Amino acid sequence: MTTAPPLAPRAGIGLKSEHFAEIAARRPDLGFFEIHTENAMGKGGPYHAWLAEIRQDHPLSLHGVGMSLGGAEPPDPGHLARTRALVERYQPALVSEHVALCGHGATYLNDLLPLPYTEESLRRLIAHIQRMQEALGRPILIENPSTYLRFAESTLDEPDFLVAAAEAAGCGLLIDVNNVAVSATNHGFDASAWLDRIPPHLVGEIHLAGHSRKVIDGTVIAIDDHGSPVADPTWALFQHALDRFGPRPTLIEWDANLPPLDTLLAEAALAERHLAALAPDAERIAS
Amino acid sequence: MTAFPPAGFPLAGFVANALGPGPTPELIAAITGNGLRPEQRLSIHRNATRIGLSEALAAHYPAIQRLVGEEFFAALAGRFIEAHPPRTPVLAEWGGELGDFLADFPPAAGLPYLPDVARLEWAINEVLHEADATPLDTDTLGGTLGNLAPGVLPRVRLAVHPAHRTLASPWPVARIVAANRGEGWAERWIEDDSATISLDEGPDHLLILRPEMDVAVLPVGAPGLALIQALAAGMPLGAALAEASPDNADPARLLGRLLGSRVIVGVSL
Repeated sequence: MTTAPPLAPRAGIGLKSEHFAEIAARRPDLGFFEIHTENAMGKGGPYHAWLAEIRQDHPLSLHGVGMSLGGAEPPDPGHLARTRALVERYQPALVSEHVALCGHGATYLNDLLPLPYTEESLRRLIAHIQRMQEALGRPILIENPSTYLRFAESTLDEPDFLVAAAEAAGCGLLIDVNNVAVSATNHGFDASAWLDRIPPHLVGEIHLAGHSRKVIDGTVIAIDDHGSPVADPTWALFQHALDRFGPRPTLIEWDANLPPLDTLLAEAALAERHLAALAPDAERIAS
Repeated sequence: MTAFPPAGFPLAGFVANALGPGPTPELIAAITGNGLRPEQRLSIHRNATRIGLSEALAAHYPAIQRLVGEEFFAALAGRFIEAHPPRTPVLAEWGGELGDFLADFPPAAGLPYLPDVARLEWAINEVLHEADATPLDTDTLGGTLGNLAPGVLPRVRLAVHPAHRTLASPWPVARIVAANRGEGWAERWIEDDSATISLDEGPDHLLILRPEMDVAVLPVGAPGLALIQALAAGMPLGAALAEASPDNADPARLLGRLLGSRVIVGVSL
């Protein structure tokens, strides 16, 4: 299976139902749109009507939030089947999922909970990615999480854990640069050094988003709430990622306090300026 | 197969952390605080679950939220989330028990119409995401039925649109929802938009239907409701009309109203 980016390395935005009509009318010049897979799991109705119309003009990325690849149980067969049906219907350029636990037993917590980074959870994650890829008949990308806590029993560093999972499962990585920044703040590590441990050939997509900060007992905690512009230090980290990985399809995520479409398009245009300013591959590797 | 989570790994503690009184001692012990107490780090996850699910519930039930106010709704959502946490990551399909939950929620006892308001909003949510189908227009349907050989009509089966639900309520819930749902709902359904709604305007017998992309809430009367329910259950037309109108008062009028409602998508024998 290949992990080469099947999309042009341009910027895209999250597709929100509030913007459907405006996007269908304006057909903005974007590299792609991304949706949360679970939001498209209804049988019919206006969501699918708009999505089908917008899909005619733009590539699509399906980004799942509920497969719980890090969970105790294998991916739910029903959820896999519904995801496969969407893949067949909309032929997305990318399919991605989070490295996370989404609940336990039958309970879905609507959260992306962190995994312990142990050999056991690595083996289980690899098996679950493989199960998903077999069900879809195509490789996926797995996304690094934003985390707020660590487990005492973890024995692997996060980049090593993710790279080992991707190499063993034959999937790619979706590097969420904002998540790296958030986790670096919350655990006190060097975000650039984290990125430097990711082999460029594994990276199929980049995510950018805003986060907020709150102070708990004098300690700054970054909250990955996707409710504000991409912060300046995150743009700098994005540039570092591009210098290392080369140009990659890059998504602007904005889910809370949704702004007008033009605000998202301006963020995407800024990302495209970073992408366009990169030296061609040969020069960059030689330098 | 290797056991996962590892023996003793307190995965279930996350459920207690998010939905119960707080994290289990086992989960707290498994987390490195790194400058904070583990409970403080876990509180971020508790908030993520509860805020995200409250917002999803409010998106399903805007009229309920407006009727009870944001503060009451937040408390209601918190109790509901604990009692009925999602069993699916598809949040459009979560929250349908709110009507029944409200019926047994003492703080809401003074607003006896709330459970049916919630049931109507849930029906609207469900038909929005149901399968699409093309309704037969009145002329096509009337022509098809009119061309049948004598005696065949009672044996005909009419396929009911998948994007439909029915609701009977002793309260005027259609007007209550229309007046409180915002975004043009009132103009879409309500001809009489006088400012006050009298609770003795009920009962309502409602067809919630999405013939194409827009949801309509249509008063169809008790016989109309019974007819649609009988057809949806697979009864042939003759038996369905008898079921809906046992005294056989005016089956022609009942059938005429049905033909105009855009709820029929197919005819078969």
